[in-house]
Amino acid sequence: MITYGIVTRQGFEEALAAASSLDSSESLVGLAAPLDATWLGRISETWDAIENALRQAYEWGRDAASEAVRKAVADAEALVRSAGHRARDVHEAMLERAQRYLAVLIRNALDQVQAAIIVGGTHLALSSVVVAQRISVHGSLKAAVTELVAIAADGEITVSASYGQG
Amino acid sequence: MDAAQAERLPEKVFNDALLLLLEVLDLDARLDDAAFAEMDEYGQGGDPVDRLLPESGAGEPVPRSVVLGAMGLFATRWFEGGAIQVYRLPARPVFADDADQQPDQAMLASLSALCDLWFSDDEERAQCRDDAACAFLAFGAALRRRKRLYEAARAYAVAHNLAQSAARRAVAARRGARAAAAGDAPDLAAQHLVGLARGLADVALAAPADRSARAAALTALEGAARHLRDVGNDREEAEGRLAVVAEALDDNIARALVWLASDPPDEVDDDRARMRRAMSLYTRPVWELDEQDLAAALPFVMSFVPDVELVTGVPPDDKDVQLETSWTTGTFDHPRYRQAIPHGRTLFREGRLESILFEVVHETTHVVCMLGGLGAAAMAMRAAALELEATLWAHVPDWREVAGNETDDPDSDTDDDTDHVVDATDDDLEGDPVDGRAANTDEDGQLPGRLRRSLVAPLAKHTALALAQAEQALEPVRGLRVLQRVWTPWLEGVAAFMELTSDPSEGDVSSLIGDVFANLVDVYIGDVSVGVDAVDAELTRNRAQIEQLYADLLATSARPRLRHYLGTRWWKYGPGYLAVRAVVASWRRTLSRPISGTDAARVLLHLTRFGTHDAVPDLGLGVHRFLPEAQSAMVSWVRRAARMSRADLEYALASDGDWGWRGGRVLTQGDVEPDDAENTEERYHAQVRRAWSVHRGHEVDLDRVPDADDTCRHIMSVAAKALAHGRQITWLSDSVGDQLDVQSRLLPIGSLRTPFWFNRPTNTLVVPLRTTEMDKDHGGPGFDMEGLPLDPESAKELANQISRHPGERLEVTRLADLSPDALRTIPLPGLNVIAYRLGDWLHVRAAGLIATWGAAPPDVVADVRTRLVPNRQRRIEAELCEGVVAAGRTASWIEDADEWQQSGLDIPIGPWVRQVHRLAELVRDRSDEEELERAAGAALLTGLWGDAAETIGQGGIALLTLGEAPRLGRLVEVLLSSSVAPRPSPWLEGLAHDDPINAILVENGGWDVRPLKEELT
Repeated sequence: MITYGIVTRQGFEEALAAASSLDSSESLVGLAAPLDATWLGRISETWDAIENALRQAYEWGRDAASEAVRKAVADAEALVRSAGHRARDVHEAMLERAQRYLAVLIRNALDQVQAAIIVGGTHLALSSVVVAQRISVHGSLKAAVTELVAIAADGEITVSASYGQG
Repeated sequence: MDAAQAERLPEKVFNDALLLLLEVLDLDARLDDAAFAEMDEYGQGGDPVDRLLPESGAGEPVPRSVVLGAMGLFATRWFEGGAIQVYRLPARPVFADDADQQPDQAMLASLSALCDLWFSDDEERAQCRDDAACAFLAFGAALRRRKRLYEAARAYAVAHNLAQSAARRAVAARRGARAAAAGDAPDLAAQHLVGLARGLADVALAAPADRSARAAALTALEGAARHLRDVGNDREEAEGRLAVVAEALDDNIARALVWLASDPPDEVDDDRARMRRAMSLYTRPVWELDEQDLAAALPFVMSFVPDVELVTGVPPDDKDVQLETSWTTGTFDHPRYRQAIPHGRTLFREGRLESILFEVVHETTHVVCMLGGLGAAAMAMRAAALELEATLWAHVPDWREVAGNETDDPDSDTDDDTDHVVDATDDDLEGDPVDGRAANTDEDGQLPGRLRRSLVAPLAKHTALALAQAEQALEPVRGLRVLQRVWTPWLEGVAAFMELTSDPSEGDVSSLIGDVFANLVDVYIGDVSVGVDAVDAELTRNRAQIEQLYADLLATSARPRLRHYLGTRWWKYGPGYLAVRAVVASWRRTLSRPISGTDAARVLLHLTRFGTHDAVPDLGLGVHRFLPEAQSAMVSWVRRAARMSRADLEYALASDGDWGWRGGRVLTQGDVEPDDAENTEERYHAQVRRAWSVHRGHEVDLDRVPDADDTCRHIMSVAAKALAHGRQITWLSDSVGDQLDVQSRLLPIGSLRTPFWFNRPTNTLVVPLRTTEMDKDHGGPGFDMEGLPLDPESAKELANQISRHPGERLEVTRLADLSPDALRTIPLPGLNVIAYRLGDWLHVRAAGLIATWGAAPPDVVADVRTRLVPNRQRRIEAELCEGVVAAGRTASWIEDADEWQQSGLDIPIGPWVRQVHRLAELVRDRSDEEELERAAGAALLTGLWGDAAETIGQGGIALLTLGEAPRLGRLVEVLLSSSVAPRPSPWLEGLAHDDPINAILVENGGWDVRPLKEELT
């Protein structure tokens, strides 16, 4: 059966937090300086613009967010262009954040799928679950941001769940 | 030889081994026909072992000559039944005379191992070969200690040929090359270098994903190629072996190196041969060229350098490493400068300058802050830890005997990259001499071998006194960690502020950080005869150029860096940064004027360095009291700094260095206590004494064990009183103090190992230097080449060391001199030097703004040597102050206890034991230290702002953004701009009165961070 995982406020915030904290997973010990803080900071600033677009889309819809989306994409592309020899690293870092955001969002959506349903008095257990929606956050930053904004605006992720007896 | 045995044994290897043993025996025991006759006579025409066994079986002394004679006899007659006789020899005979037994016993062990190999079956053979290899490694070490270097090199060759494991073969070859070189046998050394390349290549091929292993193999191949001509008669065979290694590694640069090392025949003189001869200079470490040929050779050689470096180096991976200033070594190890150094004007070509410069400034700030009161307290605790651990050796039964059975060799050199892959051998027993005398020294005033390897005493008996002393030994290490963690928020705040706010191009007064940083570019004055003013103008121009470079980078990079610090890395940097900002804001309020960020940073640095002597509680408190008091003292100190009076502030801001800070007030030039050597030394000794006195005497705090009953408290009290009779081993703390003093004066910025060439006729050292990992134009590594003229004496010593260290690369290190008088002559701190080292040879030259000066004076060279080549004592002291090994020892020792006794009686001290065990676990596992740091950060903000700190204390400034990502960016922008000077902000003025941002930003002659809360003052 096709069901829809709602993007709840809590799930949305969790996904944003996960993406923002991507570079803080390694704890810094002692009197340390994070390597490459300049670029990590620039990536965070650019992600701030994407996060802003996602929030607007989630709260006000895709149209209302269009200007923020345009700015986020422009910022992201400008950042990659300005990175020179490091353009590939920066591009990958941005996509990594997008993927982290999406992964948490999907996990939250899947959490909403019921483990069992009763149909006509028959107890059916969840046997498999598939994200039916094709979501791609690889390659172009513009495409990735647009994809994420679309999900945020729709507020749901399409999930196909199969149930069976026993 | 039995045919079946001949099939399954490496006959040549075996014969070489026996031959070596026989030769050594011949030298030692004068084994000749007469000796054989004597042996036969000793055996009374029968089996001499029958005579040996009854005497040796019960550990009875055996005449040394008889044992050696028997070994020789059996080895000689190995194939006629001698092998089986070896089995029957005593494993470790006790010689009747008092001769040094180690080489003989190592030889006997080697012979036995050969015997095992000889009689091994197919299943056992691989293990037996490795066991025999280990035995010959130990034999080689024993011979080397006897200065029988050629035989040692041959023993290592046997070990290499026997070893099954590639790593062990590499170790044997490396040691063999060193021994052969030291024994004036360059041909054997060169053969060993080929073996080393083969061994490391096999290691690399077994781990194809390990880039370091491959780089090590290719580096070894390069070293072997550079000495292939030393092989002599067997050169063709050696070339063939090296070519096989190059093929196995499947690398064209490796093939080219072997090709260049094997000269074309003299009769061939076509273009290809001429080119090959010219390029082959790369594979000749010593040249014989006149000036003209030298100039012509350099481009050829240099053209090959980048290609070789590409395969012999490993690109840095920033994700795998952390940049950290170590409290132990007082330095940082920047991953971009692990195989590169700034040189000439290469900083301007650095592709990652926007990160590297800030990182260097940040970490240098830490290093400079450590030079003051906090560093002095840390140094005292390290010295006390060393003394207290040394005291524990009194509880080790027969420690003198244990130590005495291990021999020493000041010429040891076991610190290579691969030795760790083999099992411990006798080589690990070597050590360096240590000055002074102590209870734990032998008659010559030196630490015996075991103590030189590690000062961690292997505790056994479970007594109350041992427990008390083990607890004492843990206390300063734990106290050191507490001090570090409690102060980390503030120190990170100062470093972040210094890095992002202090503009070196601004104002007339520079900071030490600015001095260090300005000297990363080398300035060569072509003609110093132009006059002092012209030289001065040139230096000023150069300095202004690099300062402007930093200022330009600040304009583009400071904001994203602060965004990263305050967003993603809030807990590490946020509390400290805001605390620093609150202090600066308080100063602005006090002065009623916007002092600049650059001026404030200079005062903060000076204050943290010179004003923290009274900011550390009594080092003898014991950590249960030291921890809260250290945190409280830190917060109080910061609050006192925030409350600095107007007059004091004006003085500090105007002064160029000479002021102190004690009890919350500035000590001006007139009333500052002389911080001379005597005073500093006195203070240091007092602090060591306090740390050493922890839990000692009649007034100890028994409440440190909260659940101790009366009996337990009584025993603790008795133990403390007993400890009061102890005496300090003051020479240890003196020694630590002296060495750490040198350590603190010189800061290594970067280092590399590089091939090099010495041109004998002109006494020129030619060195290629990797100067960046990412050139801003092409994205790859950048290189310079330097021709360094040497004086004849230095050149002679270098030539000597080249022959003593075949295959080794030159180590080049750039250091900053942090002492007030750079190079001990002029009041310009922060000047740089570059040190070039091979073996014992060390050349140091001035760099940075005074690069034209050339060679550094001898006392600077001596300091650089101490800094770069720490002796074994310093290395084991460093290990000890890290604390993990000793704490692990104590934890295990406690866990092993069935019962605790004193004077033969059981003693009920369970609560105390558990307390010490917990302390040991905390030191060993560092499990609560991150928590300590966070608690200190939160306490710092609360101490400055009271309740206003509550919101951000829970999760950082991201909580002030109300879920609006752009607010965070704007907030960071305001924080950054106001760090330079308070400014108007229409955005802030438009915020609602109850907006959470108002918790940290206020009007203070423009928008600024909230100063110290009025009512808290």
